Amino acid sequence: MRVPDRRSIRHMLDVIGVLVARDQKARYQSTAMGVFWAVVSPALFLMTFYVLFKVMLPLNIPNYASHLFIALILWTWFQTTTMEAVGTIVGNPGLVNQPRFPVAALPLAATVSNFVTLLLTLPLLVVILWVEGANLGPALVALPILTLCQFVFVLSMAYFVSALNVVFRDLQYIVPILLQFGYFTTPIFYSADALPERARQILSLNPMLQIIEAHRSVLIYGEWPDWRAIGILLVASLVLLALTYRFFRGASLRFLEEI
Amino acid sequence: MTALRAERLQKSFRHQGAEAPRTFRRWVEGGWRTRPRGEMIRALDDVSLEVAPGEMLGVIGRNGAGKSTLLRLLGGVMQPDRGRVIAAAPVNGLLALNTGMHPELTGRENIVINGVLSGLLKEEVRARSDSIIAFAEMQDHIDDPVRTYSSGMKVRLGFSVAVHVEPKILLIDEVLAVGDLEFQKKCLRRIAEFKENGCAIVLISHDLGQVRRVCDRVLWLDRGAVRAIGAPDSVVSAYEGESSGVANMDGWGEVAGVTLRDPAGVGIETLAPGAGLTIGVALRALRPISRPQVGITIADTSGHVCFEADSLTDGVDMPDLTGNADLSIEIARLDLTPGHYTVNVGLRPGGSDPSQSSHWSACPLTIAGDARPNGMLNPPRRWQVAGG
Repeated sequence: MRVPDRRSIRHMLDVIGVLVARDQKARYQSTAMGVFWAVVSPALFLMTFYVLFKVMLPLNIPNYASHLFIALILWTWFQTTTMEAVGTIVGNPGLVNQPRFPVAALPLAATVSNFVTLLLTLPLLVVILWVEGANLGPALVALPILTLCQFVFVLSMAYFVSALNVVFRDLQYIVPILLQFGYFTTPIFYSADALPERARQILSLNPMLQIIEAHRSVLIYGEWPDWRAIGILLVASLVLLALTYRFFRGASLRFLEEI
Repeated sequence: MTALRAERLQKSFRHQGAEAPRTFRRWVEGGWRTRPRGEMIRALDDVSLEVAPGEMLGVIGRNGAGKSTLLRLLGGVMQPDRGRVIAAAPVNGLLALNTGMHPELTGRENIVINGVLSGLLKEEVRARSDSIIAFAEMQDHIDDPVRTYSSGMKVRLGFSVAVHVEPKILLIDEVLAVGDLEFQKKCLRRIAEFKENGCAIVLISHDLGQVRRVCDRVLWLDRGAVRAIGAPDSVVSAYEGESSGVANMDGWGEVAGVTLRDPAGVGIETLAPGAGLTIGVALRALRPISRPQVGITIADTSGHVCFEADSLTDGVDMPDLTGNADLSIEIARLDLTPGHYTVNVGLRPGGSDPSQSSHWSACPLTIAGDARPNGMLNPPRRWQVAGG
């Protein structure tokens, strides 16, 4: 493989910057309240689930709003990126056809852009944590590592689905169904502790479960995450990223041959 | 010295036909082991080329001849099955304009997006943005959202960014046919500047007149293979000659050769202004042809027919054709304005309509002298001025 020189690294960063800025600005200008909606959308989900499982069918989970909101914004990052990534190769033939355009930037930009959206919701998260009296402590320094871990995982899924959509063009209809399934098998509005032992063992293989649980221990209880689980997840995600990136390279080159 | 070299490129695709594109559903329904069907089509077969700095290579050929595939391989967005592409500098494309532009953002913002996506760094685009805006003649509207632009304005903006990349190697696909005539001329001037500064250019175009005018050499692709490569006039003429005969190749007869002679009977390609011309035609019948008809046209580089003669309308009594026959048409004076032309000769069976397809052959003709921007005719003339 060719070693990228300094200029192409700078160019890659500029490409991602431009794509992310375009995405964010376009969202902001067309709705005039893009930032507002970035916060309001998870807040509405929060209210719905809060009313449902705190008032109507109480699940008796302590700090329920924090418990819920942490999972909602982390899941949204994963879900929105995956949905956007599905169409990035097939939907941008002009860019894939453009010499000197690094196609690998497309899923990467989707991942970064949705992370920016997540950052916009942080003030609300802080408010919720503060209201419910979260026990914040030195374990906060673990957050960047958790973010890195999720970033690698989300990116590898983005590469995977965008490449697979070249092979199977109906993937964009299947992915939302799979995400829906993931949404309910991930302890977002419920707690993993409430699951039966066997179900818990199986669902622990879900990377998003590990990521969400780790964030909860850090942000709500001020406890260190399960380092063993996070370590395994980080290594597995890096391996996954290497594999899906290769798959992506092949698919983006093959895409133009499908005429 | 070579700026861009392709060595024995080969590329095949799987033709998917009506089955395309594949879906997960079909894969499951058809059984897990179904292989993608469809035969392999060879899009490019053993294509080699070289482009020197400051040289413009034209690529012509019918649709599906492999022109776009060649450009993609040269641009590195597709990998050849065999062979390789060696580029001395990054390869830039002038392929699709306005890629990545967003309608809600302003022209100025879109210049940065488009410039970066075309291979520039952000700071490089910023440094050139005044020049880009001036070239596009968009000073008044540059801070409006692109959605408010007319299609002409969008094209100007996209083109302006594209020509500010300052390429060393440039691939151009047909986009020169966009925009109004004034702007097109401006773009062509800009591309001529690139050439002077040593940029190697590969141009795909269906505008054969343009290919003749601007290219230094022309490559003719036919079903993925190099059919001819050489001087623009001869390659384009050969291509024109064949493509007009494409419709009817059932092998009943052909124009075996066309020769041009001056009044002294000497074979020529360049004719003095006002001189006479004799067009010699060799006909060959593969099956007996009763009372065949022959049509001759002389067309300029953009395809306008300046002269037409037909054995039917001229009332020529043509004999039945059973083997070889020679025919000649003597034109007393050919008062065409200096420039490049193509002499086309067509043969068709008797009783058929002049517009009907027939076998064609062509050869280039140049009228010597200084080309004039306007007009087709150059008759002998005398000026008289009275009074004053």
